[in-house]
Amino acid sequence: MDEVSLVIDLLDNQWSTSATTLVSAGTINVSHSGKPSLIDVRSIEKNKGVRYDLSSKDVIIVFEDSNTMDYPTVFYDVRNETYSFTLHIRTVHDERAGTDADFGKDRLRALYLITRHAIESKRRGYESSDNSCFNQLFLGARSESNDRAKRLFGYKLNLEAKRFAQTVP
Amino acid sequence: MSFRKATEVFNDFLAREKQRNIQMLEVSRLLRVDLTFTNEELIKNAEEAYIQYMEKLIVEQVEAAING
Repeated sequence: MDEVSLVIDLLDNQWSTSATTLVSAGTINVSHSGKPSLIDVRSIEKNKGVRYDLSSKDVIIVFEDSNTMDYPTVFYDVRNETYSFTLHIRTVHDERAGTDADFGKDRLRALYLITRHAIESKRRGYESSDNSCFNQLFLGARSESNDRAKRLFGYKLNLEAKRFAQTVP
Repeated sequence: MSFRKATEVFNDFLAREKQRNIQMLEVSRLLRVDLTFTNEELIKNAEEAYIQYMEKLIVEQVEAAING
């Protein structure tokens, strides 16, 4: 599994657990615990949809920004890999809001908290069903990106993931 | 880094953000919700990426200078 898919797989698998934990703790409202559409834009083919669920109007789109590698040993026979991603969380304040003027804001907060919880719960490593893995995951900076005209609320998150001691063949 | 090189680097980040916005447009069409970035967001995202790049570059150059 490639790295962007692995981040999406992590969020997909951890979402329910993290949402339940945060709802139980009273941090977020149960109405905001639904899973958003998790999108790897590279998988989009025209008129064929994507391989991830698009039933929700909340989205988390994952882009890979960079990948660096270093070879820390004398014989350069192991490799450490660092991946940097940008996660765009975007939600629309639409008919779901009803009379709740704070719907978009609260929904965005919940999406962020669940995402953060999911990633932090796997900060010491995540392994997917096909044995692809990261050894470390850390969330970085967060910046707001709201668009009042479109009634769109958003956060941009930086995520850094590392793999250590990969054997060089 | 010369001003021309710095401008080139920034333009590369801006081009990347524009490419991402095209992909966002594709997603927007599928979802029937406009999720695309505004021009201000595009520039802001490119600026943030550029700042990160420059910070990393400065750290690397200072470390190289310190270590001789």
